[in-house]
Amino acid sequence: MNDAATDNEAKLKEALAESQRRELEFSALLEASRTILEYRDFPQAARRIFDSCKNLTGATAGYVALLNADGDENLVLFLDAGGRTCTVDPSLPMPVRGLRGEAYGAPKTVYENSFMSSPWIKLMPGGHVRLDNVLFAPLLVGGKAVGVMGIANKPGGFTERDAHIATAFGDIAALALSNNWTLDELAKSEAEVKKLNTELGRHTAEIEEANNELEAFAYTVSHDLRVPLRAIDGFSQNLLDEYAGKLDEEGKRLLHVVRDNAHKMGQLISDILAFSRAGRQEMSVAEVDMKSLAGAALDVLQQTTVGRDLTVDIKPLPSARGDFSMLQQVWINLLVNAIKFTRPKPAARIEVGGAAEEGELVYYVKDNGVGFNMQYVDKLFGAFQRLHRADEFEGTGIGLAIVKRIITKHGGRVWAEGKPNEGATIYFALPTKEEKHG
Amino acid sequence: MDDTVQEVEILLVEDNPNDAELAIRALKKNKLANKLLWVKDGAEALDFIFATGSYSHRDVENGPKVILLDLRLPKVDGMEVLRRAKGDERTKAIPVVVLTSSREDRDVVESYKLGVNSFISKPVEFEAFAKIVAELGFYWLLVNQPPV
Repeated sequence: MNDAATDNEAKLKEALAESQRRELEFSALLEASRTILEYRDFPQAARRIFDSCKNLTGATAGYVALLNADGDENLVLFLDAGGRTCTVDPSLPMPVRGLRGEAYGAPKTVYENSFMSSPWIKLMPGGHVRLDNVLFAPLLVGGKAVGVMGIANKPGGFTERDAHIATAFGDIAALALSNNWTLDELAKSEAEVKKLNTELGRHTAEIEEANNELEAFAYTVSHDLRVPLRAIDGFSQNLLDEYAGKLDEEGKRLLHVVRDNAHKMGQLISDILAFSRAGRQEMSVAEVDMKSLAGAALDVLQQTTVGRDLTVDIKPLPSARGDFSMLQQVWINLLVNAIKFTRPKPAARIEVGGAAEEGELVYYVKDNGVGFNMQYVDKLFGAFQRLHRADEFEGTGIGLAIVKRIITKHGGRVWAEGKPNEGATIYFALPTKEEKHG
Repeated sequence: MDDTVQEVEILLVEDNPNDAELAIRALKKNKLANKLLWVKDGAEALDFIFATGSYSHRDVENGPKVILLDLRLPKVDGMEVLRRAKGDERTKAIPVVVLTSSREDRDVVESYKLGVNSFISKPVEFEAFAKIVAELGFYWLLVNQPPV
């Protein structure tokens, strides 16, 4: 009975000791894990992980090395000779071979306890630390060995348990390395993004400047063209007034053609100036009652609808945030078009409406006029693009281009739908959020 | 010669001969151009207004009823003429109407700051231009009550 009791006592003691050993291993591993986040510099992290592993296993020497770019040599991060002398030239290449090579090759953790009588001893350079036993645990990133942690000279030799422990520390070291690489990549990407942003900013500034120059040019040129145009108009008028008696019908007709074209040119210049202004003006943003603005625009155009069977239905419109006079111009231009293109229809119907829709306010002007072919919808908002012949409808084709410019400046968008002979609907949307461009 | 200069009612300061001719014709049509003097640059305008140079025989106090002034002038530009005319006690009462191609906001603001009486942008169409000039002439010569 005594033997059984002694036996049990021994088993209990062993279990307790084992439990304590496990606890030690556990906390050592946890501490090693913490180094991953504590140390941005990998050699520092690796050193701490190595020290922990060395102490836990009882080894007295070792090192951590990483594979070079070509994958055939080791780059030693640090070396712990454990009190013994090592006179190997540190600049000597350290090829992947021998037992270390096996750790890399498999990859797996390997160890040799009778190093002095092993075949590996032949591969050791002169002056190397005397190795009694040695263990290699590969650092695996993405399933491939990218480095190795070696520990050596444990009194009594390494065990399988040591191999398991070293493997765990090797994994933690590999994690630290992988994290390090990720952070490096991130820093590089950020620098790249910064550089691209700076370039983008520069390009944007260049484009803005070019745009400003172009607009200033259009403005100046159009302006200066008016002076000689006034002379053409004025002097041809004087010619007509004072020499009408001396001119026959043909002569008068020729002169009228000159005057007509001078007027057209004047209109074109006015349109260019208006178009240029629409882009250059400073915006003063405020709450705008769109329904009354549309109504006011219609009043301005009242005279052009005299004698026609024309009904304009302005539905309730949500108020918008924008520049009052610019938005007034938008309504005027859209209504001018609707009124103009419904002229051939005996009963003209124009409808104005608007509603809030998903972050924007969408307004429209719909008419039952001559409409347009959707094939040409891309040209609709182009400057000086016309879809009708000059003898069908007057105008230079700038109205919708100005609308587009103004709405774009407000951060909105324009589009249209139409069917030949059935009518057209022009839509414009304004953003409801505070951010605006312009 | 002497007394025509003394009796100038309208001083037209305009460097473009076409614009000048059109303005004069419009005024003539309405019989307002009898006592009109046309000068072609800012320096000559100042000589006339302040009775210096070739106009030194003039009496400064006996100024025109209105000055029609273009801003774009050679030698001395219109804004400077306006500044000088409105800056002198003897001449600041003379009505100055800027009649110019420019529509620049800064020109408008600056002119009013200097005391311009009226700022008109020249229309492109002759009809409109002639109408405005005639109305100006009519207003400043016949309707408006001069200081004395």
